[in-house]
Amino acid sequence: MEERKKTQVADMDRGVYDIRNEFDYSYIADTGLTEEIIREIWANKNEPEWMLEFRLKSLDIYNKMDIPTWIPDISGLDMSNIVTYVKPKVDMKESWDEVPEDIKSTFDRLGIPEAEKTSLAGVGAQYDSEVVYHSIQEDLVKQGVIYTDIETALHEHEEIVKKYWMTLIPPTDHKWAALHGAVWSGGSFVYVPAGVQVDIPLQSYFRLNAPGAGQFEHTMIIVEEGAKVHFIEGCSAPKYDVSNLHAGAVELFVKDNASLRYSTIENWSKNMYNLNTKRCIVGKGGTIEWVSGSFGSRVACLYPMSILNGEGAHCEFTGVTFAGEGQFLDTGCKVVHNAPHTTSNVNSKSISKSGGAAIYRGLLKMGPNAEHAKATVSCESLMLDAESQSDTIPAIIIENDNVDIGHEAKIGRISDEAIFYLMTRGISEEEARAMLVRGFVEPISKELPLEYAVEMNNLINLELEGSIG
Amino acid sequence: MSENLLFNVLPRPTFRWLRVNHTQGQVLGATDERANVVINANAGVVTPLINTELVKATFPGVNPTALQNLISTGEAHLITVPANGKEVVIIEVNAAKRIASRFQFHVGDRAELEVLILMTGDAKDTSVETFTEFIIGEEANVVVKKVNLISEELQQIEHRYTKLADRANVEFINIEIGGKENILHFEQDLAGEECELIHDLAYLGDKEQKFDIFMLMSHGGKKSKSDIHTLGALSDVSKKSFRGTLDFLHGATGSEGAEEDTCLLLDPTVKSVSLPLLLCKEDNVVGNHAASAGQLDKTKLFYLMSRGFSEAEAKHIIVESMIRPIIDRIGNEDIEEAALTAVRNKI
Repeated sequence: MEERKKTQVADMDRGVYDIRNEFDYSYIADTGLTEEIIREIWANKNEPEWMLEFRLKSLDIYNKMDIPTWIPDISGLDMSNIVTYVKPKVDMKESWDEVPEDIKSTFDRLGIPEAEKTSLAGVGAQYDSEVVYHSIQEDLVKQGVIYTDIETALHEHEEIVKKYWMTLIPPTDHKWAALHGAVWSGGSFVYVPAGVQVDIPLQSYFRLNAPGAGQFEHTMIIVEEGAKVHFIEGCSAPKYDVSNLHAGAVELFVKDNASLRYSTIENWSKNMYNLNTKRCIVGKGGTIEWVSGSFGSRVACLYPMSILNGEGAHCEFTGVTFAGEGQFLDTGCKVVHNAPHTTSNVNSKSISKSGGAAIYRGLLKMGPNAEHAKATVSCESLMLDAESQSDTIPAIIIENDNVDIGHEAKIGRISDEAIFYLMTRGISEEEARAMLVRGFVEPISKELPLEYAVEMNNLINLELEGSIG
Repeated sequence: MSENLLFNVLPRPTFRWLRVNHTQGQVLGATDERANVVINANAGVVTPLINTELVKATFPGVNPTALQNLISTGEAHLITVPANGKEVVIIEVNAAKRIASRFQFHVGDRAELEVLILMTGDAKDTSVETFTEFIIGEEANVVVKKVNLISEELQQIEHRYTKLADRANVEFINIEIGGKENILHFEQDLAGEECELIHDLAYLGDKEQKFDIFMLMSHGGKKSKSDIHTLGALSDVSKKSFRGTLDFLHGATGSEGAEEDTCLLLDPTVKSVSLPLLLCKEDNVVGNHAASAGQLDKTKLFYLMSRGFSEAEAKHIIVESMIRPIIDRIGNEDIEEAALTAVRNKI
């Protein structure tokens, strides 16, 4: 049997994700956060006046707010060293041929243009603070679907953007929401008109190449009555010795009887502080489906929230978190039932190894109007060694007698019997463990788009390689 | 004491806007004249507690300030069961006035102890505050049964700390029916190998009653086992907060813990908060938690009504049948009957 060398996660080659380009840009803001920097970002992006007011108000809120007391240690993050805006040396293009070769090759390695040809209805690619490529199939445009970068939307569909802008995630929500409101840049805008079914997914990929920078993209998706869309979000960055920050915001508006599936594989490098906020409001009979994989980052605080405001609205959350050495991934999901007959299913799995910490933090709230609402939550945690940490911190709040909720959580290890059984069938111990881990996350991986499921399996193999020894 | 205190602070706080990380409140009548409890036990078992130091110096109780106030102003008893001894202790708490009582139990190796705490009393706008510490020796068996039937115009505060040695076995049973506001704090150190602790707590809330329940099971010993089961029903505008934590520490290999919080909601105006935490720093453990909440089982209701019971009667039967198995474990017919009467009067 081939002998495999023990690998440390910290010095592990993450393949294409770790390939960094030469740091090149057409504009870069100073490090830190001041009113002058905000004014410069605003002027550079040629935004309307109300956005400047919004940015400055958010900055004021940011300066007044404290850091939440319950989050993991983020003392390694020094905002005075973070560059909040890096404009790449290219404007947004609609053809990959016009994108500079080094940036294009990055997305080539990540498989984005290839996926666009075979399985996507539209693609957006953000490099540092700006979107460098966007496309959408012509037939969707004819049906009135809008898929563009948020800056273009702000100019061409200002009324829509203004109407919804940070209404779900107000800057007063928490310190990082306020920071986002002040320095946001890039991101995607999707508008699906009533009744339009977008059968093939749209995908936006966010790549942060600049060292010591922050990425603050804003994603806004509006799915009108009876419409349907699947949106895929990918994130990655190469590893540097300095800290990077991701404080994006995702606002999703799912109207009556509409349906949105939002899939994410987050594979930021392990020097990243991922303090992202995602929120969705769902109308009568509407559905939001979250499929979420968290693998990267040094520290992550990510809890997609679904507000079920319309009668019969439904939320489905499927998430997996894999924390390796030096990682503290505090992830989970929040569901608020505000209307009768609303339903939700939460299925979360986490794996921790080599001293990594995987935390599930959740909320299930049944409001006074949520009569006949039903919810189930299932959390399973797998610890691969005794150096790691795995915590489950759910909050269940019920303000209505006519509801039905169930919550279950389990923490455990891979059973020795299962490994022994597989080894008696000629499988090595290492492969047996990897098989069992893949089996553990299988309910999640089957919900992912194929290429993301493959990416997740590769990541698991990468993380587990040489983990026995 | 009129200052606002933070009660039952969650060991690992969560989202602040939910306002569930602690309960804010005051200890009622902290300076009121107090009454003493009556302890029935064999001669020599109960003596005054001279050394007032905490068994665990960092034990916060419901709130450290409230705990210190009780220690400095209340009565204090030491209950000793020698190695291989066997004792039954009955504590009668009659809250005609404020109660502030501390009990420290030293249970020797292989000893057996049964404690029955009966709380009654009609005082108003003051508190019934107890602080109990158990140091339990190797292979000792301890059963503690508490029945709270105090008036619904009283506040009840309980601080309880327990430390278990190797193969010690503990069973706690709480029947919580009385009290306008019940703030209960149970912290258990499962320090010994193969020690085991089971805690069953039943509550029944109506009107403006509040039940604020904190349970922490710290698994330090190898192959230690714990099982938390809280079960209750709420009606009118009553509220329940359950903060239960299973904490598996480094070295607690082969340990198992389970917690289950079940709440029956009888009116649309009730509120139930459940925070069943699992904290784990050891891979070779099994930790499970479950929480459920809902209405009365309609099938059961329909069946009983088809047998001629009115809806109200059917509800009585279902709620009583849920709580009764725990009441039946008290093992004292008079107290069981008193508890059942209290249950029937409330439904």
